Amino acid sequence: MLSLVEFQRRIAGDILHDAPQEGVDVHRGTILGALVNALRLTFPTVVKLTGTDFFDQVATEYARDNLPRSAVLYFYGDGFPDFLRDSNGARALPYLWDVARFDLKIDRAGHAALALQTQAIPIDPQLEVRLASSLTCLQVIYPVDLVRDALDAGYPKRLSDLDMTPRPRHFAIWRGPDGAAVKPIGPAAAAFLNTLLKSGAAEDALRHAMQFTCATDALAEIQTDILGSSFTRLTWSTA
Amino acid sequence: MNPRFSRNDACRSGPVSATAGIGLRLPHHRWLLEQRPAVHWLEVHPENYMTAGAQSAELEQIANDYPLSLHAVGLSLGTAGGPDLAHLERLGELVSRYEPYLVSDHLSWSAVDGTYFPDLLPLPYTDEALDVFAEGVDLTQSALKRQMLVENPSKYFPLPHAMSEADFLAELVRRTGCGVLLDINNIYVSALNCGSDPDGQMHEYLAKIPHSNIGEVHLAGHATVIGADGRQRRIDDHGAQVCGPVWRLFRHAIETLGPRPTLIEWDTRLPSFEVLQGEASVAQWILEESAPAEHLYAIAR
Repeated sequence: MLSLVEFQRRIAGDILHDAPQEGVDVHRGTILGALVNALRLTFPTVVKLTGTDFFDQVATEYARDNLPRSAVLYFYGDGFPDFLRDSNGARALPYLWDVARFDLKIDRAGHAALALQTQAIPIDPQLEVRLASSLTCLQVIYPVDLVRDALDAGYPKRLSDLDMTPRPRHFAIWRGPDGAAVKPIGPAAAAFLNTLLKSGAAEDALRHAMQFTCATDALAEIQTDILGSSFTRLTWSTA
Repeated sequence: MNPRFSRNDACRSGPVSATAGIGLRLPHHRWLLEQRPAVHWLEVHPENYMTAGAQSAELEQIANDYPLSLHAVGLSLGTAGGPDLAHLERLGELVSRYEPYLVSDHLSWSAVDGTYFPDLLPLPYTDEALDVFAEGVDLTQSALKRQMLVENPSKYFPLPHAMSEADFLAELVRRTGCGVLLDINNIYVSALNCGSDPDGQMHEYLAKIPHSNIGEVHLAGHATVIGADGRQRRIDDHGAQVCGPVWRLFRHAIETLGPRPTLIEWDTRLPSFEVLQGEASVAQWILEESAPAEHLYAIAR
């Protein structure tokens, strides 16, 4: 008789390798179905763009090779956008990778805590900022926000009206009081934010931002897109 | 229109009543919060709330008005290396937050070598599996500082067991003091899939497991499919009304055990909440008809 771990490895192998053993196919179907469903929930815009048949086919291929490490499936599928980009059928839609990454960031923000960073970042001697702890920055080249909005509104024909010219676009994405929140930001603001999130050093962030535009314009963009945003809490020192 | 339900109706501070509850799924949250229908209690999968997403805040509101039970699917208590401790910690946080009346998981495993399979996979009922499972239950009950219930699973193929499922569960109860969540649809489905008699299986359960440890009953529908080999197979998909033979087994169980908190589960092809209320009302009717009324509201967890 097999030991318990040998038995479990054998069942796992039968599930993964399509063994014809009667009854294992039921478990295989349940497992792949649960994972495909988790991916559908995380990538709703991709599902709408590709249709469920194509999506389920790619998602099933992904799930077979990428089983989760945890029972909490909300955080499953980080690698799906890259898998999608490399899949044959998806190459006809060049913007799909960007859309998938946008979906993923929005989904993760929606599950993040509504909280600020614990550590304040000094901007100058009188000013500190705290950012939303869930805040991330995404760079894409297609108007993924407009694609998602058009599909959410149920007007897929409007997609043809969108300017799909590839050019850098940046978004701040975070958990707001009503769920995930998204704000388009300029390139200098994105450079500032990315550096700030990585290093927590405002001077480095500002220097990075000024590589994209002149100091005056960079500061104006940072003021509007970052310091004036609801994901930022400013604290002025009265000393 | 459904009568509105408030926390005062639910006797939340007392022991859970031996009444019919409903398995709550995410698509019903909004409706439930708006309509506040009369439901004795609700059961949720804690894995759906191990996030700071909106559903967790909604459950917080729901838990203010309805008694809750947490029915886990992710502890993987039968895994050879022991249960997922990170998952147990997450479950512990939810138990502290929602103070559920009942906490349960399954007589199954879902992970091996760190890979998680989102399903309830069958255990061989051997001495080694019993040692592993009992250790997992001990660990869980110690961490949660409470008794947990263990549910009998659905099975799709026979395994070379050293003991029967009822014997395995009875010994688990003896070693750990855990409770048993008796899923009657699972008994029915497993018996038919493995070539045994559902009545005989139910009889063995009721004969071998101490009645005082059977703390909850589950009822659900299942699908019947014909395989490529032409054989009929029952799939525990929780996607239909409870079938007649399962209602009959339920009545027999309640007549033997006395009333128990009984849950209607429905997961796939989810209908409106009112359909679930209809199923729960049938279970409630059987509970009331099969047991003295004074017992209905006085069962300890």
